[in-house]
Amino acid sequence: MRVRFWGTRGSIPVAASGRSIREKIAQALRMAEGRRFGTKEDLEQFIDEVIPFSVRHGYGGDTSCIQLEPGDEYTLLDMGSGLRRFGQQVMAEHGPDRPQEYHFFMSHMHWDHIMGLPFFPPIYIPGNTIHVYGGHPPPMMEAAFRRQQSNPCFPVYWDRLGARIVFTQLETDRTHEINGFSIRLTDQSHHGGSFGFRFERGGKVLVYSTDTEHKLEDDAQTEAAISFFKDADLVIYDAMYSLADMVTVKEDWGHSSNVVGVDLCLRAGVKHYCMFHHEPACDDDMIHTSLNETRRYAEIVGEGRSMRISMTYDDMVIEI
Amino acid sequence: MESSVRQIADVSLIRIDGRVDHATAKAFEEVIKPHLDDTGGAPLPKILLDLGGLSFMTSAGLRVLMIAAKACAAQGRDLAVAALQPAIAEIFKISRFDLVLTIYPTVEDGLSSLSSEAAALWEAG
Repeated sequence: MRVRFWGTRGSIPVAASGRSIREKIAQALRMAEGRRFGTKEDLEQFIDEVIPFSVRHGYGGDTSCIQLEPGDEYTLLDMGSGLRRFGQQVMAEHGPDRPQEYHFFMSHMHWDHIMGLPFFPPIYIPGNTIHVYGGHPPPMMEAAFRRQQSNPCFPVYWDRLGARIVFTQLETDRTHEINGFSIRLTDQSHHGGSFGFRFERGGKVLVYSTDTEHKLEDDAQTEAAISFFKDADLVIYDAMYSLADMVTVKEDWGHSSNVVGVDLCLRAGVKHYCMFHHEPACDDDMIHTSLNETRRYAEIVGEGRSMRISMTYDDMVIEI
Repeated sequence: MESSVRQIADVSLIRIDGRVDHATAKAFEEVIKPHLDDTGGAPLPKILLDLGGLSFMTSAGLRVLMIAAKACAAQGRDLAVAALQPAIAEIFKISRFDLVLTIYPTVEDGLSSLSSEAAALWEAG
C-alpha cells in the first residue's frame, strides 16, 4: 500500500510568508559558509544532506487530502485544498478525454475537508464518476457541497457539474469492500460528528483518524480507539494541539494532541504513528520541534517499545 | 502508585510515588479528588503535589492534574507541583503543562512560596 499526502494542514490552508522564506534563505546561506558548488549535483547534495528538512522543504499548507494506492480506480481521503494539486496531476496524466472513477472517503464535511472540490477539474468533465462515501447521511453530505458551490460562495453551481457524483453512507458496524480495500469506520468526537477509517489490503493496515478530540476521561472512547488502531501498520492521527492546549483553552474544539496519539498508538501496538492536521498557527520550525518532542515523549513512556513516528507533510509518500 | 497526605498549616501536601498511567490514573484521581471539594470553609487549603517519587506519567495522569488545577482555579486557591524528576519535567515541557501549572524545584520552594507558616513548620520538622 502506498500513501501519498496532498494536504496535511488543519483548519485552513496556509502559505509561507515572505518573512519566513527570507529567514529560510538566510539560514541556508549561513550553512553554506561561503562554499562554491561546482555542479548542480553538488548543490542538490548540499541541500538534501546539510539543510534541515524544515528549511529546505517544510511541512506545507494544503488542507487534508490523502491518496491511497494501488487500485484500479483512485482512492482518496477527504477533499481539502490538497485535492487541487492532485487534480492537476490526474489532468496532466489522463487529459479530459479519458473518463476516470474516483472514490472519496470523507471524515466529515467541515470546510477545510471539502474546499478542494470546486478546484478539482474532473468534476467538470462528463464521463467521470465521483463516489463520495462517509458516515454521514447522503443528503447532509450533498447539502454541504451544494452550499459550497452556490451563490455567493462560488460561481459554478453544483447543478452545472459534468461528472456523475454518487453519495453513499457507510455503516460503522460492518466491513465494506471498495476498490480493492476492506474498510471499516468508527465514530469520532468532533462537532457535527466525524468518522475514522481503517483500510486493509494485502495484509497491510492503514488507519485515518483526523478531526477527533480524544477525551481522556472517557474510558469507552479510549478502548474503542485502541481497538480500532490495533496492530495497524500506519496510523494517521489528529495531533493538532499540545496536550495543555487540548485540555484548556482549546477544549471542545474537536482536535487531539501529539502525546495522546503516542499513548493510544503504543497501547494499540501500532508500527508507525503519523501526526496530521497541523495547527495553522505553527510554522515549520514549531512543527519540527513538535516532531522531536513527540519522539522523545514516546521514548520516555514507551519503555523500550519501538514505534516509528513521523510528521506528515505535503507531498510525503509512505510505502507500507 | 503510592500516595500520602500531610496537612501543613494551610497547605495540603500530597506526595505521589511510582507510576501514573492509564492503569493507575483513576487511583491518582481518587487521591486528589477529596482535596478538591469546596467544604464551604474559608480559606480553602492550598495544594502542593510532591512528585519527587513519581517515576512515570502519561497523558492520563496529566489530565488528572489539569482537572485539579481547573477546580482550584475556580475556587480561587493555589495548586502547584514540586520536585519533578528529570523525565517527568520533560513530559511537562513536551505537553506544555509547564506553561499552565506552577512548578517548584523542591517541596521547600513550593511551601515557601505558598505559605510562610507552612514553610516554617516544614523547616522545623
